[in-house]
Amino acid sequence: MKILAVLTACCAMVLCYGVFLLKQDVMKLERQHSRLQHDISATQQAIHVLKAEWAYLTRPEYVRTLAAAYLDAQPLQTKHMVRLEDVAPTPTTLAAQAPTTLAVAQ
Amino acid sequence: MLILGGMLLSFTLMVGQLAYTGLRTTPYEPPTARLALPTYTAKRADIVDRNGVLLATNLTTFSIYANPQRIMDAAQAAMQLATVFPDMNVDSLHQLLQRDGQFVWVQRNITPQQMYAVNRLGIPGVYSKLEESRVYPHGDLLAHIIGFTDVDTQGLAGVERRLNTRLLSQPDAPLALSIDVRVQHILAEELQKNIDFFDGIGGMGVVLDAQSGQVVAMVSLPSFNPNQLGRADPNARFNRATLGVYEMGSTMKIFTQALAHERGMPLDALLDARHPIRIGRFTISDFRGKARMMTAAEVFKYSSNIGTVRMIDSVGIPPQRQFLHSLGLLRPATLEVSEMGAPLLPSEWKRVQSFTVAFGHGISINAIQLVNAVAAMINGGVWQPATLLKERLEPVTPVKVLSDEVSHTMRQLMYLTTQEGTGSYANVKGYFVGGKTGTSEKIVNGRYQKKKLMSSFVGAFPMHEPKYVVMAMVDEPKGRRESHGYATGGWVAAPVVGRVIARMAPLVGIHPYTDDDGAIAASLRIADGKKEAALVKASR
Repeated sequence: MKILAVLTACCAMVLCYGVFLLKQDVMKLERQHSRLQHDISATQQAIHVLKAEWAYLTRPEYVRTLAAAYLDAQPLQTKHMVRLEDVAPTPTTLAAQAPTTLAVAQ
Repeated sequence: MLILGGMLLSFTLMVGQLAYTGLRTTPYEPPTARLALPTYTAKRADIVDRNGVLLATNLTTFSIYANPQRIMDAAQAAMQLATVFPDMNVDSLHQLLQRDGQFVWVQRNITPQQMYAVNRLGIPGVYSKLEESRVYPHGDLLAHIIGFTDVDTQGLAGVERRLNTRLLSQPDAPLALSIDVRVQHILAEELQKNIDFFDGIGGMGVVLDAQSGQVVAMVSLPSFNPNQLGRADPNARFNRATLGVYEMGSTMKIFTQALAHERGMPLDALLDARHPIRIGRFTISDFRGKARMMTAAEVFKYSSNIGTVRMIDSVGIPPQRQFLHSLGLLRPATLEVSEMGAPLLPSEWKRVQSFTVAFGHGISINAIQLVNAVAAMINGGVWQPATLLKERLEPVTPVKVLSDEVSHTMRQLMYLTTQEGTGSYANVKGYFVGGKTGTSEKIVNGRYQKKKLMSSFVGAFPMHEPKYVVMAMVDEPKGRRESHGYATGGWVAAPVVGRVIARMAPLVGIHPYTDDDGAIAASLRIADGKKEAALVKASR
């Protein structure tokens, strides 16, 4: 009877300690969670601000000013445009140009 | 035994306490709440262009408020705050901080540096609050389209006002406009060049997708910066493209011409343009007129007022009204901005009004109505209301207003204008531009002003399969030596349209058309030369 009582008491103490540790872990995780939440929120806001800044810094008007100052580029004109098929041979045009198998065989 | 019992009891108590401490949930001692920020949620949806470029967004800012009851020394607090906000007056701040009540705004939407400075002052009774303010990264480029909001981010103009409910009810879904920022920039830049060159007081332009009715660019100049609304000139805030209604002049002849052909008039029908027409107190004459018989095609090419009046006289008044109504010219446009001008129509529609309306006088419409109706003339005859949204909120049913054949004829006629007529400066090699010039005198105090013109050009390309309608108008241009003193649509606005097309076409992926065998040009040509030569000979 006495042994049972002592065992029960020990058991209860161990379990309580276990629960205490668990609680501590949970609290630690909760702190970590809230810190992460906070970081996510801060990062989201930062991304949002950066997006606005990006839109501001890529204004066509501003890019044009920079391009005029630092690049030797000029506005795209119709004479600069060529169709792909006019430059690179396509499989069909290649096939038409290629010697026929008959010619090779001879 | 007693000792053992006592020990057991104390152990049990300790265990109980331990269990209580371990298991207790703590409503009054939240270990994490202080760390947690609310996750970021916008109160108002972003606005983006058709390619997802950000046009309007909400940014978190700080605002400073005070509780006057808690401020111990208002005079000192006012002096301290005035060092942070140099634009605020010490006396007015002092008065503000002495008011009755428990809440006054000190300054809203301040910079992070100012926020830091206020915190460092540490004045009791002065508090900060996180707020959202609306930011427009593109500044004045889209001010008339997007509009602006008040300090509580409630829409006050443009799309912000018209679609306020949508922007607030779905804050996480960005609203995509049909606008292309690149085309918008090109249009604004080219238009400004000619406003400056011809010393105009303003201008406007529109680029419309001829098939879908989507507005790709819409410019009203001068513009303003919606981020600094307080400094905006009220004149600049006026949207010439939607709120301004104008007598469009000769560009309206497109509709008269289309109606006449739709009612069976052939292109080579002869019309008497030999003498000015007198009706009532009006005399209708031609600007540099040919004073001879003309074919219907020539009437369009040379933009003859007299010829156009002959056409509408043969059609009659009810069909004219019905036709203009079907093109949406007799009711306000339904574009998604809150500034929308209602057309000014003749108070009675008799023969004389029918004549003036035929060549674009006595009726005032806005630019959106004009390009919208022109699109219907050339896209195969289908009219649908213009929209600023990439996806319409409600589906619309396109209305067939013109036959395919007449729509083709109109494409030919508009092409003829840039090849041989008044619109040659809008020509761009490889893009088969067509169009119509328009020059009208402004009305001041009920009288037409000979020196105050509205010079416009409405064009489209490529004419054999139209994709875009481009319109430009300059307000009060002055003639230049380079333009031989003229300030007409052909000199002032047509070059703008030409340059816009040359720059935007490669961007929107339209190749210049190689027309080696001349098939496209042939399909757009009107075989009219012989007849014209004969008429010229006969008139001599």
